[in-house]
Amino acid sequence: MAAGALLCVGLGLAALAWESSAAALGEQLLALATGLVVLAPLVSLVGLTLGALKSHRRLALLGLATLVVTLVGMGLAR
Amino acid sequence: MNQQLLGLFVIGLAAGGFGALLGVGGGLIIVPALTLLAGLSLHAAIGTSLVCICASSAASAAVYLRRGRVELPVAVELQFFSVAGAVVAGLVAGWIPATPLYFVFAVLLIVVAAQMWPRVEAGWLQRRLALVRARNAVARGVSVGAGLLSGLLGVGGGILNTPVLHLVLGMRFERATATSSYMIGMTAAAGALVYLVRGDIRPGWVTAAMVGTLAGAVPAALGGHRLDARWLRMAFAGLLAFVAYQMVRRGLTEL
Repeated sequence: MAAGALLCVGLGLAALAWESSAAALGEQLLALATGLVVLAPLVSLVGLTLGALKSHRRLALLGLATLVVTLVGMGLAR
Repeated sequence: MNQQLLGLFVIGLAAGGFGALLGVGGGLIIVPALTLLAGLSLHAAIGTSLVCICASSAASAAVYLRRGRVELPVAVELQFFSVAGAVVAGLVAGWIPATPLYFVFAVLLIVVAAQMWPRVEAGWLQRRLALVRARNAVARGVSVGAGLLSGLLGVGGGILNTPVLHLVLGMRFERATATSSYMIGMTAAAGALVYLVRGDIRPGWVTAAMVGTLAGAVPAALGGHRLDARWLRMAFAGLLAFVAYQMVRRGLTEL
């Protein structure tokens, strides 16, 4: 879970660096904080799904399905 | 601008405090307050509320997970259904004009206010849920409903989750509230991502309300047991009824 959170921070900072010319840094940092808060439950679910892969296959599949539904929703919202 | 951010912080503070004291999601307070007091559009208020729910859920669920109170297999299964509901509702909400949502929200507030009133020993919904036989199917169906409610109105869905886990699936009450806390985070996150991608959420507003929510929830959770629950529930029910009236008025003026 901690690794997932670090990955999110890394991805967020990469996106921040990429878009830094578009808006003020403060606004970007707030957007990053908002994104991290929203991603926190997803990171937790990713950790849970990975942890359940060996012993609780059904739980892992449900976790994976939940993540897929979330990502499809995001894609459709675009 | 600073005054508006301060206002959002205070709204979050009240929502976090009441939410922690009464075990309801702060969305019931945040959404009307942001539209009626801070002047945000209903869609922006719903998106902001969903992010605040993510934050408060993450804070409380982390504690519950460490104490082993969350029934993870049940949470993950029902979460799938509520997330599906939240995603559908979040996508549809973009096409629905705000005016009908004011009335739907007002009805929800009245129902919750009636459930909160201290004279009501066990709510109508709770008594009906206790009698059902097809427990798993009902739990999944209600989870979809909780997700729809969350994505459409910016509430956590805990008002449906907790009774279902406790009365339908027979979970002990403290485990039901802990499991619900974990579930609403993921449900709210699925809805919030849709609003975030669509550009309905302004990060500055969210941060002010979110910090307020957390600042209100922590002391309320620590010292809430010292307050008289009966008077607290009555005050909250009265507040919800008043907010429902204001939402109806706002809806009527926008017709």
